[in-house]
Amino acid sequence: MRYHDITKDDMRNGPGLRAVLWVAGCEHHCPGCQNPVTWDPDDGLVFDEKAHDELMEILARDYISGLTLSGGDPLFPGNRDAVLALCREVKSAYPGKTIWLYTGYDYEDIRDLEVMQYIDAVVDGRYEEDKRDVLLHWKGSYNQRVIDNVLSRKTGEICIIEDIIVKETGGIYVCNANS
Amino acid sequence: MGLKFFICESRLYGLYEVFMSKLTREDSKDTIDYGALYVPEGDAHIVKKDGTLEPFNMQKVVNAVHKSAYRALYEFTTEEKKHICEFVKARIDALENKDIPISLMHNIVESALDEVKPIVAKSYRDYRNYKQDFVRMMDDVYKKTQAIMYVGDRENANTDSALVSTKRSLIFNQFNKSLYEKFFLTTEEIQACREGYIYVHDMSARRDTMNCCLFNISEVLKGGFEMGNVWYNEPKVLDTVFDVCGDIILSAAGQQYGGFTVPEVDKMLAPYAERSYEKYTDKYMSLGVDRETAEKQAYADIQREFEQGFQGWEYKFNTVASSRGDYPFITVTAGLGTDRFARMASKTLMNVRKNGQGKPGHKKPVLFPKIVFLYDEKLHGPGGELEDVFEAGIECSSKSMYPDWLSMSGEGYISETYQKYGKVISPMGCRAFLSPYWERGGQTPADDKDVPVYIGRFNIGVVSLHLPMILAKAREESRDFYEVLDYYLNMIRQLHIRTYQYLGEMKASTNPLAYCQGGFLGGHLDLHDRIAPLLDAATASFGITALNELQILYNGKSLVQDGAFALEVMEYINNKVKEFKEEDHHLYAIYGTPAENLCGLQARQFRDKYGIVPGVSDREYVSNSFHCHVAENITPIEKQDLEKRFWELFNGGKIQYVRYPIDYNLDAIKTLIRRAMKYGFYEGVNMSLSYCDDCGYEQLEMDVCPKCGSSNLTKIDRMNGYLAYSRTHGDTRLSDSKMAEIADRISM
Repeated sequence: MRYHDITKDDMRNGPGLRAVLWVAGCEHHCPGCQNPVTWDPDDGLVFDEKAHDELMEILARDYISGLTLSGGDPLFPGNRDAVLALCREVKSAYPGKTIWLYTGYDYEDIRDLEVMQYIDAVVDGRYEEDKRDVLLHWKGSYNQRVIDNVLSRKTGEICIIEDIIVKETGGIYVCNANS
Repeated sequence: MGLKFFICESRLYGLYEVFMSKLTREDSKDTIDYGALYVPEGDAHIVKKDGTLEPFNMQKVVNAVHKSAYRALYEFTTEEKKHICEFVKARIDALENKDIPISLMHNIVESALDEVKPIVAKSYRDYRNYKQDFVRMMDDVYKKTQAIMYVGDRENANTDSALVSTKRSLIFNQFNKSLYEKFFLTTEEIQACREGYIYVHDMSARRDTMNCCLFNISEVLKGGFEMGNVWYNEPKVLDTVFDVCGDIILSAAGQQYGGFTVPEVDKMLAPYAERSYEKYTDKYMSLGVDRETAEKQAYADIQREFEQGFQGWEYKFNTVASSRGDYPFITVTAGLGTDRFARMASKTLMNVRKNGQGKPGHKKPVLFPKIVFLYDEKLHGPGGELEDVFEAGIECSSKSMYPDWLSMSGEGYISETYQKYGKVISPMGCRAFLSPYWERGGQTPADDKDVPVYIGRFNIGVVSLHLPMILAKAREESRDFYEVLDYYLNMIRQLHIRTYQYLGEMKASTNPLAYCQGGFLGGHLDLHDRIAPLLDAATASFGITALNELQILYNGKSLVQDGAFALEVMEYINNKVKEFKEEDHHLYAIYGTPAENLCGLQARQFRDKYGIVPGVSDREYVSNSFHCHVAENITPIEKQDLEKRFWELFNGGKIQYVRYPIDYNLDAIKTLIRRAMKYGFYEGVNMSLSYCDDCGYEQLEMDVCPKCGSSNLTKIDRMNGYLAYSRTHGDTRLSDSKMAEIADRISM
């Protein structure tokens, strides 16, 4: 697996301060993508032992709430094995910390992957430029969903953590589908 | 134009007369007739400026030097006066021509004063040229007046300079500032101020009164009090307490020029809420309602009264200008009260702020009072008794930036004082903290059992250093930096000493709620008493800005890259000020200056004298206190760690804050605040709040409303320890240099 960046103390990609791994490789190529440079799976740097150790060192810090996998797409076919190994390791080393996953695939298509047993939340779906709204929490366009994966696996339903629906009228409604 | 000028000048001149008569009200009690006692040989006359002659009379010399002495806070002994008269007589006797030009006469008197009392000689010299000086001063004031009348003034973000009352006070301030420079500052001090090595804050008010305080409102209320010659009984129910407190706060805050803090407002209000609750319960029960229902209803009534009470304060403190002409800086601190109504007070205070004021769909948070959350890990930490109050605080911060968070359970002076003595050191206004003053021992503890007091104390003003200029001067003149620094530290020290002396002469009647009704510590004086005894517990501050620029000028590295020199300088200043404290017996404090307009002035002053130095004077502003540059690309964690080094070196005033790019990551806010609380910080949440005044849409950091396209926006930005409108209805209210700084912000 290759990656572009490891950011620390990030607060835009999941709750609390997080370590974010920006992997290379994505086949969705959504128009208006924030990081088109990350589409090419052969670009960026090799996620080697040094990068791995750097990431683990950040996760060890007490103020870091967890890991967010973004990119690129962490579930790009070429990334899946490495991402699985990483998530397994992180969960066993830091069971109290959460893992968030950003992917362009729909939740329905990935929910049964092995890696999903280690994931706490998923932001799913392609980015659709015409559905963009900056008021949305954690996601770019309102077709995307922020899914509580732990609860969804337990209940078999798709449990949305929190959704802000911006209607055409501009009215804003916050619904908490969790409760 | 000419006529206008004349009217303006004569009105101000009228003020001057009042001013001077006040100054010279202490007529000499001396009964000696010096005119008869000291008659020079021959027929001496004074040639006045218009050429007319007037017989010489020694009594006039005595009167003039008496006035000068009074302005220098000195009184001549009879011996000294006689010495002066003898000196003057001897000089006149030595003259061949007995028609003495007035200028020569002045020189003779000055020489006499130089021999007897040099500070009075200085005062005499200042007064001597007052006519020319006053014309020049009036002209300056007049020009500034015209600017204020037609252009407005953006120097202070709390002033809405379009208002008639504000303009009036701005003009008076300009006049008062000129008087301060003329009559209070020495030539060296004026020179240092003009060039920019030091900055005397609040020149327009600092001779009239004190700066900022922790007001003891409970002490004023207890047993009733007098305000404006009217007796108020102690209020019995909560809504009356809110009402009366609002009036006390506005009235007392108008008598000072800095921040006015009501410490631990939750604990202050709780006993009145309890009393109201009992009263309402009894009332409902007397109507035949059962106890349970009566208590439930009474409880709901109290909740409602808290909501309305805090809303009432928000309206009052943001819309009713004080007698000063602007909105006084009012702060309340809360969060530690554990009984049910103290807790209700804290939570309601946060919720009212969070919900904002305004029409439905257009609500936005107000700026006053500033709210400070007092955080104790034992109470507010995970699983703590007051975790619900903490949660309410976090939600409020995520919507309105306030409250700022003050640690009671971390490292350092403020937390340790609370841990050891249970005493809270609330900030006065935005960020000023008091040094300890001991209940029995005063400035030093009487014994191991003595406890410090903070409530009811105040500060008498700040003078800031301009460290990069001081370093540049030392280099240019090939002198040791610390030698030049000592010169300016001593200059500030002398200013403080004179301020203590000068303010000590004020009468308690200048601020009766504070000095006579118990608002201040020891504030049960008679109206005619001098306030000098209360000044023993007052602090005076040495302000520090632009530490980042100092480090860059020193070795080209910012506070992020280095900081060793900045630390060394701060340690030096701390040691030096400690020495001053011990020698002068004044509570000097070191204060991280929140430079609002000063951030631009200092950059310009540096450029004028030493040119453009990259990283030091190439921007429109310099950095605030010990903060990293706003444009540093560092994470909030890194910012906290980098600023921690300086924390205990600024015990007279400091704040730390980090920027949040989004407002809904409450876990991030919690993490950073709890981390700051462990460090013992006073921590602010910083976001760029923006509201569309047309459609009500809100979003962080917008310049045009994405929903309706309007640029009629209101924006709230953090100045430093306080928030301000950077735009209202589309117009900016801040100085250009502050706007430039806001535009550059990355990690702040």
